[in-house]
Formats: sequence, structure tokens, C-alpha cells
Amino acid sequence: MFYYSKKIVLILHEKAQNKELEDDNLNIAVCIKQVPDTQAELTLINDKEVLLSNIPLVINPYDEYAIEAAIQAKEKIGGKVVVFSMGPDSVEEKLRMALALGADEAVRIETPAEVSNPLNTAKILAKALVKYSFDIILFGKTSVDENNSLIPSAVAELLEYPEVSEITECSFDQDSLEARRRDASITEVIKVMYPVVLSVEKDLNEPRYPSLIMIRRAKAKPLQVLTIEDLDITSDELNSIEKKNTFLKFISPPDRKSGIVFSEGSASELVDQLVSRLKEDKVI
Amino acid sequence: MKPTILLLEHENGSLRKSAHELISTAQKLNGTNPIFGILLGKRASIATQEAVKYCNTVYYSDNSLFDGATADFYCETLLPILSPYESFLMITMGSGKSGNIGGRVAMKLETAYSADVIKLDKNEDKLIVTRSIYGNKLHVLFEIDDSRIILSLRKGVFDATLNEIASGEIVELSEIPQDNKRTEVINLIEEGKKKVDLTEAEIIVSGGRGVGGPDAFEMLSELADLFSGAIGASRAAVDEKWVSLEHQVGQTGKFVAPKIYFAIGISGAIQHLAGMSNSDVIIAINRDPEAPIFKMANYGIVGDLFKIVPELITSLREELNK
Ligand SMILES: Cc1cc2nc3c(=O)[nH]c(=O)nc-3n(C[C@H](O)[C@H](O)[C@H](O)COP(=O)(O)OP(=O)(O)OC[C@H]3O[C@@H](n4cnc5c(N)ncnc54)[C@H](O)[C@@H]3O)c2cc1C
Ligand SMILES: Nc1ncnc2c1ncn2[C@@H]1O[C@H](COP(=O)(O)O)[C@@H](O)[C@H]1O
Repeated sequence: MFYYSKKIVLILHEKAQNKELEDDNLNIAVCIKQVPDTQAELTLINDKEVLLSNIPLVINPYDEYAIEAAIQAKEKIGGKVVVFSMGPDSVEEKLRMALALGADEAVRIETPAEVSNPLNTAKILAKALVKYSFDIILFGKTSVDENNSLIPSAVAELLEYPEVSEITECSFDQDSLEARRRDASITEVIKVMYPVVLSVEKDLNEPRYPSLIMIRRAKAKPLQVLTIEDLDITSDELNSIEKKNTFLKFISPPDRKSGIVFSEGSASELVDQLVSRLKEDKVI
Repeated sequence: MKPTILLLEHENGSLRKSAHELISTAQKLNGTNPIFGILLGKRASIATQEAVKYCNTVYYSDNSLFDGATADFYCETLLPILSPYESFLMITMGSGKSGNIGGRVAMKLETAYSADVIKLDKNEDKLIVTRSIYGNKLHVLFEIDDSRIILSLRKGVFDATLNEIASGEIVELSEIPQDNKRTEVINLIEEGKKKVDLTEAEIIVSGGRGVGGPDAFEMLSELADLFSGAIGASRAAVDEKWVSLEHQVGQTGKFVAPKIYFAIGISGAIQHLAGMSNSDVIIAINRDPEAPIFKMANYGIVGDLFKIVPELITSLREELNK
């Protein structure tokens, strides 16, 4: 029952034939993104550029829970964990971190100059993921810099996998998993057969810290770098999506100025001052 | 014809506030294009009665296969409705399953896509979207140009006032995809006590580490109840397990934009501000006059929250009963 873009799906599936991981074990992927530290202040150079050079870059906070979930899955049911990230050189440090935490292999995909639309990010990641044959593909629920909450769904769609998003609990089995998620006032408990895409909510687990031995071992683990040429993606293909959204400019959000602060008097006097002011200003 | 297609969230046979936001946005944007509302899941048929007052056509199905279904199932349901149209604008809510569904459809059809939009303008034929990025430290504007466009809106920031139109048409969707058998709904646990959803609340009372423990949240609830408001929290309070994760406001919690936001015993860390700085009015109570929250609060009281909040409850109760 799929209506469009059959072409992409077919190409993806042809690729899947030459699986690079040929064992019976489970294959688990985690996709992580490098983002500016949430603590950092940002400065606009002009309305088209943000000053990012002096800002520390970290693993997207949600992705830390995804890495932990992948390692826990492997500890419980065996298999291999491969961690993916599309980004510049500096991303390799984050991939090494995931290797130190227990991932087995890492893949960095060089970001093509033309890419800024997240649909393209999803396309590229899907092409890299499909080179293997993964049973479980883990993502964070959203990236805290861009807040697209798109990549997991878009990748799942390209791979024709079901997705369970924003999971708050998960238990892994050999051929299926059971996860919980919140949907408004309902908690859904869902069992899914592999393969599946998961996106994880904060607090799914408690991410571990890497030991010194693991950090040392991580240096010897395989880290592969791919370009879009390796993934048979053309610039034209990317541009056809890029041209739909044209970046215009950045603006600073409207400034909030500090208002009136009451600090003199007893509790009831302070409250009286506040409440009469709220009435005067028609807040209440 | 270029329809505006809305995936409307509903609960217990009524449209949710998020659905009102979608319809209102579509009505303002739209001019003469027809508005299609789509309602899927439990008691959708009841909610059509409300939706049809504002939409030209309402498609619905309350097939039980939708209960707890994953986004791929919804996506397969929507594709046959969307694919006949050479051009359309589809709008969903940004977070949760609605966002997942919109994202899947956008990828499938390779439409123009923009997620988590906070402002929508028209420049001649072109749509201009504003998104809030880097924890609301920056806004970014894009021009969207395509015959097919899918957008998701951030909850709570768009106006929700509706215009009734001459009643539209209701169409039941007869062709629902086959159950794929790969996913199985084990359980759907409905919350006993009906709580106000943070992203829909007009008034939010939030507590932080300063409230000292779970008991103080009872006191904050009393304040919130005066306005039928909702309880929010800083991450510190959530990490201490005084309240559950759904209450967390901030960059790794919920983005909220209520009419009044009370920040009580919250210092105002940058990640917290990311989630609440779009509130209309911020009222802070903190014993530390230097707390950063005062830099952005419209009103503040410096003092011990355990003394201030009970007084405030008494005083506001009198005011609101007048
Ligand atoms: C990646 C990342 C993501 C994060 N995401 C979020 C997020 O989404 N949301 C979030 O909130 N935080 C988030 N944080 C955490 C954030 O940095 C702060 O640690 C947190 O917001 C602090 O919470 P708080 O203000 O309640 O606690 P504190 O900073 O400890 O402040 C407590 C305040 O209470 C006041 N106080 C104490 N006792 C009283 C009293 N009796 N009466 C009056 N006032 C009193 C104190 O003066 C103080 O200002 C994140 C951090 C990171 C690194
Ligand atoms: N460049 C990237 N490389 C790898 N994974 C990514 C990338 N961008 C996003 N992701 C993944 O997709 C999730 C959601 O991101 P987003 O859709 O951008 O909000 C993140 O938590 C990551 O798991």
C-alpha cells in the first residue's frame, strides 16, 4: 500500500541485499547528532550567520539515552551496535565516546555542503543504514538545536519500518520488543516485531559513564567515514529537496525585559502589592 | 483546487485545543481554499459534529485499529486521501504522533516540509515560516515554495479562535489499511484523574528545586486550581522525582506559552527559559533577588515561597470570587 517514491524504496532494498553484517545476531544502530551545548549563549554575526565557533559541541542530550538503550539491548540479547552520525570531523570525538560506552563500530557521514533540509539528512542516513540490515534503529526524540523531531519518522518511512516514538520504557527480546509511550493522557504499551525504529524520551534509562579501559579500547574500534558518493546520492537529488525551503534570515526572539519586583514588606503586604498591580494591568 | 488538510487531534469526542489552533490558523491563512479536517481514532465520529462547523469536508474513521497504532499505519491511511491532489497544504501538530505522521508523509511524497513552526505568514503566494531554534535563543525564517507542503505547528503558540462556516460535509473513510501484524497493542492505560495538558493550559504554576519536596506541589496545585491551570516543573524538581516527566518545562521538556506562568522556587536556568519565555506574563517568586528569573519576569516577589504562596492563594481566591 505505498503510493509514491517507489523508486527510492526499491533502490534502498537492492542495497540491503549486500548486507555487511551477515551473522544471526541482532544488529542495532544508534544515530546521534552533535549540537551546541544548551548552556551556551549564541551571537548573531549578521542576519544570515550565527557565531558558533567558540561554542562547545556535545552529543544531543536525547541521543545519550538512545546510546544507553542500544548498549542495554546488546547486553540483554546480544548482537552488535553501530553508531552513526552525519556531521563534520569534530563528530568523530562523539562517535568515539559512543564506542567507549560500548558501541562496536562507528560511521561518520560527511555533511554535503548543499544539505540543510532535514528530509535530506534522513535520506542520507537511510542510505547509510540500509547498507547493513538492522533490527533496531535508535534515535533521540528530537534534536535540541533544531527541534525537527523528523529524522526518526522520515528514516522509518524510507526503510518501511514501523516506529515507536518518544518511548519512556522498553524491554528487548530476541525477535521483538515491548515499549511504553505517552500519548496525551494515555500510556500505550506496544509490542513490535523487528525491524523497528525507536525514538527515545529523556529518562528512558540512566546513561552510564565510560571507564578508562573502555576509552582506551574505543580508539582501536572501527570508525568509517562515508561521503554521499559512497552512498550513491547525487547533488541533484539533494537539491531538488533543498530548493523547496529557502533560508531567509535569523532574528533574535523579542527581548523580555525585567518587570516590576516587589521586595519590601511582609508576605501579605508583598502579595497585596502584586495582586493590586495584576488587577491594574488587567492580568487578572 | 488546493485544499488545506488538517490532522485534527481529539479526545473523548471533542476537538483538542491543538485542533482549534490548526483550524484557526488555516482559516486565517486560507482565503478561498477548502479546509479538510481529518479525525482518526476512538470517538472520531462524535468529534466530527464539532469539526464540521469549521471545515468544508471532514474525513473520519473510528476504526479500533487506530487505537495505539504506530505512525506508519496512520500514514498509510492518509496517502490515498492526499495523493490525488497535485497541490495541498497539510498542517499537523508538531509534537508526538501527529508530528511523526506528518513527517512520514512528507518523506514519502517528498513535499516541502517544515516542523515545529511558531509563526506563519504569507508573502504573495509564498509561505514564510518562522521556527524557534537553539532553545529559543534564535528564530529562523524560511520561504516555502512547493505545490505540496506539509507543516507542523508548535502547540500552544497559535491563536485558537474559530469562525463557523456553513456546515460542511462528513465523509467516513471506508478503506482502512490492513493490520500489519508486526505491531501489537498490549495495553492502553488511561489516566484516572483528568489532568490539564501543559501545552494547552492557559495558566501554568511551576515549581523548582526551591519548593523542597513533593508536598509543596500540593500547595502549587491549589494555586493552579484557582485558574483551572496546570502544574509545571523545572528539571531539578523532575530529577528529584517530586513530579513526573510530563510536567517538565524547558529545552528537554515541554515548550509552553500560557497567558500566565508562575515560576516558584525556580532560578531561571537557560534551559528552563527555553521552554517558557514565550509566555504572555511571567510571575516569579524566589527568595534570591539575584535569581536570573527576575530578569525576564513581568512581576516578581522576593521572599520565602512557603510564606508567599499561601497568602497568594487566599488573596487570589477572594479576587476571583468577586
Ligand atoms: C542538556 C540539559 C538540558 C536541560 N533541560 C532542562 C529543562 O528542560 N528544564 C529545566 O528546568 N532545566 C533543564 N536543565 C537544567 C537546568 O540547567 C537547571 O539545572 C534547572 O533548571 C534548575 O532547576 P531549578 O531552577 O528548579 O533549581 P535551582 O537552580 O537550584 O533553583 C532553585 C531556586 O529556588 C530558590 N529557592 C530556594 N528555596 C526557596 C524558598 N524557600 N522560597 C523561594 N525561593 C526559594 C533559590 O533561590 C533558587 O533560585 C537542563 C540542563 C542540561 C545540561
Ligand atoms: N546529522 C545527524 N546524524 C545522525 N543522527 C541525527 C542527525 N540529525 C538528527 N539525528 C537523529 O535524529 C534525532 C531527531 O532529530 P531531529 O529530527 O533533527 O529533531 C536525533 O535525536 C538523532 O538521533
